[in-house]
Amino acid sequence: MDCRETREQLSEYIDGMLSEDAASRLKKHLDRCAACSEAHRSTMKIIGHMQKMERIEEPADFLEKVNARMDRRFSPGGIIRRLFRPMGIKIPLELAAAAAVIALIVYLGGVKEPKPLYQITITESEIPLVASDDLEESEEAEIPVSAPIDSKLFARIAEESAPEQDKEEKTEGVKRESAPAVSEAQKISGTAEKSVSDERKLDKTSDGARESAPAAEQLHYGKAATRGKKGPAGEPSLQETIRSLGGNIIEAEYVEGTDTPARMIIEIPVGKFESLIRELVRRGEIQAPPTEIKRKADEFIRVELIFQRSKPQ
Amino acid sequence: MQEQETKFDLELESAGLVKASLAGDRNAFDKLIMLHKGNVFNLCYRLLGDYDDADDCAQEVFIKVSRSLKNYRFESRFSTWLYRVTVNTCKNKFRSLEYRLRSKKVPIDTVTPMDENEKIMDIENAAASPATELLRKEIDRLIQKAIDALPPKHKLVVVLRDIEGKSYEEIVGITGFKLGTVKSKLSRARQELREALQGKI
Repeated sequence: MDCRETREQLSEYIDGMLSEDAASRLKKHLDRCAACSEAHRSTMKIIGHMQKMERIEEPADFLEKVNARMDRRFSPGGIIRRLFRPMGIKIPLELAAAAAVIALIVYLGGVKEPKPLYQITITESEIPLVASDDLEESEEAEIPVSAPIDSKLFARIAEESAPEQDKEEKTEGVKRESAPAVSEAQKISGTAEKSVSDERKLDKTSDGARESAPAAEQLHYGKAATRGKKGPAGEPSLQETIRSLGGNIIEAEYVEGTDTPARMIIEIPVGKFESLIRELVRRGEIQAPPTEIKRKADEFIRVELIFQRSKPQ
Repeated sequence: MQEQETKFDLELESAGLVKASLAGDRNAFDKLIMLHKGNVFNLCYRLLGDYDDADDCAQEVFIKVSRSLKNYRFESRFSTWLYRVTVNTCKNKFRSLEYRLRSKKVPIDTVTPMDENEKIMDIENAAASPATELLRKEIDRLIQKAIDALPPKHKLVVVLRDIEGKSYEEIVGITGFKLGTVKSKLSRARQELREALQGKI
């Protein structure tokens, strides 16, 4: 065994991971090679120090801080400001398919001060998120940093989509979509076939360990996984679309008794962000100031979508 | 043997607390945090090298755990699952721009004792005293700085193995790396640490 082989196998030798034969050959080399013997000795010494490194005490109020953060998470409107740093993007969105939804919010008294347009607010998390299977070793293949979300993205998509957006058609679209609003309203008033009592009950949020999320009087805080069925016209719901883009719905608030999102926190690969925006644009109009996110395409960003009521025309 | 029994007891207790938490017992989840917060915090600290980052990250770990506890299938040890969540959360931090910028400010060649020519004495045989305690802390500091300068995957493996005392199989379970990868990254990490700390401790 030569020095190169010895150095390569030294770590496994120290941990007793080599076969008896290989360990014996390595030991023989160490006995006659001063440099490798010194490498062995100093490595053992460092490992010895590491095994005895002092334990660091966590802050005394650690549990309280965790609980405070979790409680904020379940407090309507509380968590988002604390966990997310707004990117300052405001996207007024005329979400035609959500017309019925918005009517329900009004019906429930959920929004007291209507905004001019339906709005989606996108915020970026303080830290980028990675896919859950990210731990699968991809060896050293580093994906180059790219800027898949560039400053012209929103303007470009809006421009590309403009010819497809026939204003008259869209108005009709809103009218067509208002039919389900009646049935949803019926559901809430108890006239639908299916009882909505269960729907009204406050779900545990996605953070399953918390027993009692604060009571929400107007909005239903539900578990995303149970929601997002097909839309009225058989079109995939926004939730389905997000999942099909490889995104996850982390938290969702629904209009009580419906599958209609009032607010969603999602995680989506940066590389799919453009597709998400295109999908939103396809469902309505979108306008936004320029923004830029420089992240690797496979990194996840956290996006908060807030749906707000449109001012009655 | 005693260590194995302690581990077994910890797993048993954790499993009970997980079940109670899933049944809606909020106190049980608090107990679960109390039981594991030290390990989670220390792993975060060793991987991130910063007390405040470790505090924030460890809190985030338990928030994530509360969210995804329902996905824990009792097929692996709870501690392995928890370490996996911790490692994932730390990896997110590694990728953050802020962390990368800060790491760049601490290149490996800055890992030096207080004075360039000063060599930390061997404390192995020194009697316990305030002076040896100071030396121990200084060695800890030097090692932590050397760890901070390692590439994330090397750091991950060497911290789990040499500080946390995890077996190769446990490291595979926690990181999702293949066994061969664990071996090669660990070997490389130890060589890098030896080179960085040569003549300094």
